Amino acid sequence: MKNLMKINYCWRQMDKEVFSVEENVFYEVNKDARRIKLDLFSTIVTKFGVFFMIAILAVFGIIVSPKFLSGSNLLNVLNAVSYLGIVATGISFVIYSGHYADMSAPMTMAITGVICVEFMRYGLVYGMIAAVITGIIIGTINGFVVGKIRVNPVIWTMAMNFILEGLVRWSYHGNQIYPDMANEQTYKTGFFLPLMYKLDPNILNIDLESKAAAFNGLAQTYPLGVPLVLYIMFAVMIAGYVVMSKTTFGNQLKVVGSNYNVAKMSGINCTRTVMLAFIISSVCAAIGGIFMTSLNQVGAFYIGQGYDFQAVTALILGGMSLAGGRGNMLGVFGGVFTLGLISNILTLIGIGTFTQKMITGAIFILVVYVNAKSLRKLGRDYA
Amino acid sequence: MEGQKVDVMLSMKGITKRFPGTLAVCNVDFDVRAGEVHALMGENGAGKSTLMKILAGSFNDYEGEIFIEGKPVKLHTPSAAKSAGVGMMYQELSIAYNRSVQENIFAGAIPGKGIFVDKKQLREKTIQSLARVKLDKTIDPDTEMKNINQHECQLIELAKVLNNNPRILVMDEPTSALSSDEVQILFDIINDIKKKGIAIIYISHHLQEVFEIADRVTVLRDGRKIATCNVCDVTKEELVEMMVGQKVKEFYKPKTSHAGEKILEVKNLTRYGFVHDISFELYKGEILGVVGLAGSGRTELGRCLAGADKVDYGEIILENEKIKIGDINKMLEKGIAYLTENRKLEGLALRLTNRQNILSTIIPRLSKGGFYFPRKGNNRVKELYEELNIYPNNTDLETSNLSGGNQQKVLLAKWLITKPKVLILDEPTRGVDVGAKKKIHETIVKLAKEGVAVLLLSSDLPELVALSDRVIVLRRGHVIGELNEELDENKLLLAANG
Amino acid sequence: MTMRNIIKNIKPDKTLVISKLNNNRVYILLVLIMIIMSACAPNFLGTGNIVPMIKTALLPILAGTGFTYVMIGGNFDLSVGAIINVGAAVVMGEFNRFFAIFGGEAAGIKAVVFGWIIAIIIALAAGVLVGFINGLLVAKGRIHSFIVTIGMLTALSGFVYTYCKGNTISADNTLFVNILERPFIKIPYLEVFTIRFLVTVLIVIFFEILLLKAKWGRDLLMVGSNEEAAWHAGINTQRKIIWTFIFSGFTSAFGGVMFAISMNAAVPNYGERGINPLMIVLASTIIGGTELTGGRGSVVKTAIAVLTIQAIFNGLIIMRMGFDAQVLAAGILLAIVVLYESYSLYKQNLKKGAKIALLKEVPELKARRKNTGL
Repeated sequence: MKNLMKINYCWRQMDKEVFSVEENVFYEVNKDARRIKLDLFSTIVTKFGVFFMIAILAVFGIIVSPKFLSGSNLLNVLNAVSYLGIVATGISFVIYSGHYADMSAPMTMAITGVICVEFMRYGLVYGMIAAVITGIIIGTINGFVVGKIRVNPVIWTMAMNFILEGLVRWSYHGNQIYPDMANEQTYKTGFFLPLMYKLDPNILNIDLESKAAAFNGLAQTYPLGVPLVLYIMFAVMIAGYVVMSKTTFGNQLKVVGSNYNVAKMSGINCTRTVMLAFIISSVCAAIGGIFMTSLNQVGAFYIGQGYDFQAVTALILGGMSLAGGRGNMLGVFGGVFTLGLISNILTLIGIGTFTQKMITGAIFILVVYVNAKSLRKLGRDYA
Repeated sequence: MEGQKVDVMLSMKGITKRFPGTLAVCNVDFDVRAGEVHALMGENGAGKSTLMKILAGSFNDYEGEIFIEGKPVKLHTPSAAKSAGVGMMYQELSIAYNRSVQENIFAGAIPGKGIFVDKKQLREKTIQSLARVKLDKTIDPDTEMKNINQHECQLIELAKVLNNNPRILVMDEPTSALSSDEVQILFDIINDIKKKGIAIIYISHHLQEVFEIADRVTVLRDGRKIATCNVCDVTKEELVEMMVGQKVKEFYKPKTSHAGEKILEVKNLTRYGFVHDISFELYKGEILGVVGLAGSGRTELGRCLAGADKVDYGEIILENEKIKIGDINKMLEKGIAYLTENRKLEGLALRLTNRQNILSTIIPRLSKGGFYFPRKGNNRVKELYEELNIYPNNTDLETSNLSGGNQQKVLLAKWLITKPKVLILDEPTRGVDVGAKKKIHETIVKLAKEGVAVLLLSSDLPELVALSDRVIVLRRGHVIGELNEELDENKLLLAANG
Repeated sequence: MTMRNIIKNIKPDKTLVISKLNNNRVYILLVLIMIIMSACAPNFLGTGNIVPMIKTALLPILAGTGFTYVMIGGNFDLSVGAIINVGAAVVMGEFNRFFAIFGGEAAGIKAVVFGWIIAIIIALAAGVLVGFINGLLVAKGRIHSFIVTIGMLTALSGFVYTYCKGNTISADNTLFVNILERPFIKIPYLEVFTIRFLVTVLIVIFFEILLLKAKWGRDLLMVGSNEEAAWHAGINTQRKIIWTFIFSGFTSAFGGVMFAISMNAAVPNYGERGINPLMIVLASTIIGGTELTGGRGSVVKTAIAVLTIQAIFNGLIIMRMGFDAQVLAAGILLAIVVLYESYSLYKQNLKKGAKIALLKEVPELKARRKNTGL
């Protein structure tokens, strides 16, 4: 044990990229046999980690129950994680940029959900646009504070989360808003409702029933037997993939995530890049918020609670490195799917929700530990 | 020293150390006598630092034996090394900037009664320690380290090490950030320490210093010991030959100036506290060297021109057009590229592949409509690989896997790919092996031939002499002159020192 | 030495004054908030408010003590909220279990006393164990504390629910339940002196002394400030980090234990639908001046910051602004503090590395330019 400590410490010194002296650690001197065989197992684990895990889980699943491989079961798994998938895709951009995570996602979901419900009275589309705009505003603020002023992202986004929660609760005096609520009382609280009422008192008389039904229906639509949310999740993930790997922004983001200073000196506008990453995160949270609010048929401050921790868990499981610049959308999907599988298998065994949480947490820690050890064996140290 | 009994304080026999993928030190014997200053020299990557780290107890898996004062010791942990009497002074100061002077000096060894700290004793002892490095009158033990300048920080680091009464003191490049006055102060202190019978190991690249302060010198190369000799028995050329492994003279080919028309004019460039009133002209195809001691403002000048730091006052006229000193991207578009001093911190993202690193500067140029099309760039990357002879020839290798010299080539490629009009190089061959150095120099000369204006910021005097057409001298943030006749190292060093 | 020179020498350096003010900003903030609140909220300074205010603050103060240590070491401990719940649930649950084992009501006082003693020990041990695991993974496993504590938080919240079977646990015997909350003297204001209060204060004082006056604490500050330097100095950095997490687990569990006993209720999801204790602890630690990167902090200042936030909360409630405004206010306060700190850091970094000798030349330079009309 004592030996491990010293070796670990030396690795950490090397990873710090502030070599005091020995520069050429990984020397490849021509034909000189100075190399030492590297660990094969560690290489596999770090590259294909998440699918390795999915394979193991699949085996477990098959053992546990014959129903596991059925189409309807797998569809259930996907359904259960579709909301998480949308939000996680957004947060992945923040982690990819090397800025820990966006802990303001839960309340962003809540506030955008609420705003959607408010604007929905003008039409479903207006509601969604308003929600997305709110997301953009939140993301811009986050991005500016973290990108330009360089506040610690975890602290800031947590503070933002707090502020947003306060805003939602205060505006509604702690109440919720139902999509089909349309009495005088409703228009006395909320962000924009009083303003809407002032501008046009006739708003009381609009046909809210059908609009509310349309809104609530969002989460209930099943084109081709598959929930709309799932299509949206895949659409968001595919868009995320394209943005992350094929756009200028995505490729610059990779450099920013790998080393902020290097990116800056290479002429990349780091502030703008980081801002955009946060905006994407908040917009995804907004999309998730719209659908989650629709699912619950109520706009409230507790929509989305816990999604920050869950998303980070899924993303880390999926191979996204907290250090930044590493990871891909396939991994994001893998991580989210893994969480779903774990939950599904445990349910099939008959384990209750809260015990599941416990087990998920334990699995997460175990996976991270194994991954960190493998990375270290390969001479890399960026868990 | 003749006729006196010679006490061997430290003896390292057959030391070998492996890392995954490397053999850093191979079967090295090294000994140091009491009261002597023994210089340890070698190129970067030669193994000096690893050897010293072994001495400091950083590794527990080295092969070979170590004897201190004749007794065998196992230096498996830093505390073992410390108790055996080894004191290390690192190039990078290990200072906690948040905390005060006394806490830094007595970290881990705070005087006190039982579990509590004895404030009075702490203060007194700190002043005693500071006296050993002649700082007792100028620094208050309670000052926070972040309010103390670089030179004094280093002396405080030395005081910290001396506190443990080491029998062996290792100093790793202690003068890299010092002015000549400050170096003298340090040498005085070293001579005081010598008199106490402590064995001092002095790692340095500065031949001048070695000849001034050291008694013996050992040269390492590629992890092996080449030779140990008395300083008075060896010449500078012989030392360099031992370090480098081949005759130095072949290195530099005679140069011809390719200077063309004026491309850049800098007027009164000022950044308060860093560089004041810098003015000079740069011509197409010319290599303008900038010489100056550490801290004279070389890097700051480069960064200002590159757009990395805010400029408080001054003008830059590029190709007869006055340009606003904007941010790095804008300057890059205009054709001014800056190769950073530290490739690991600001030059290359070590976790990316070589190709990604090289293309990182031209991502916008390879994009259309927001989408990135690297294919056009890939060809150029391959070309640069050939031109610079980057080994191993695989663009998809992670940059961290390359040797220092090859990494530097990748860094150079990253800027060459932007087709700059003015290329600012900051220490382009620091920490680079001989072969790579040669290649990089060839490339720089070729660039100049093609009409690129090169601003060479370097502390490597032979390099400046070999490559520069003219040299401007920086001292304490000001340009104090220009040299353009027969350049030689002595002239440059004198001018830089003033 | 003319009078002018003497005065010049006595006049304090501006930056020094600002930094001294900043270091003690918590105290200033507390006084400020108290003044504002007493002006806006009727009876704010009355015993009916001050006493409950301090009592409510005891839980985050205790949890904040350990959390501050973790932060000084340069890490995050996001699982404090969950550990509070674990402490609360375990102490109540184990009391009921051991109370029954010792014979229940029939066995009289003996069963009650033993029941509580064992339950408290088990609950504290649980907190220590969790902290130890956290510390081990961060220090030896070299996994980022953010990740480790997120995983732990998930696992623990699941555990608490399972342990509580979803219900609130109350003690089967209420003989000693309120003893923690019983004031020593029933005089206004002095009612705040309860066992719980005393224990909390003692723990805070202990940890503050450990930090300020004991070698162990000073070495911890070094570890947080520059881990490598501390390691080279021979300090066992890993052990120190592990201990910070153990302290955090211990104080959070202890806080939960005393809270649950005083309320005679352990709620499995305390903080989930209300104000998350993690947020309060985090906000207070930062407002109190503990640096995020480690190496500087004070347990007492964290405690004062908790009081400040609690004062805001209570004030807002009296002003009938409701629970909701509290959340907003806390968030805004944290945002302001964090922004201020980072902004000053940002400004500092712009000037970093400037040579003093050169800076002295600047006024001369500027004057010269004006004269030559450049």
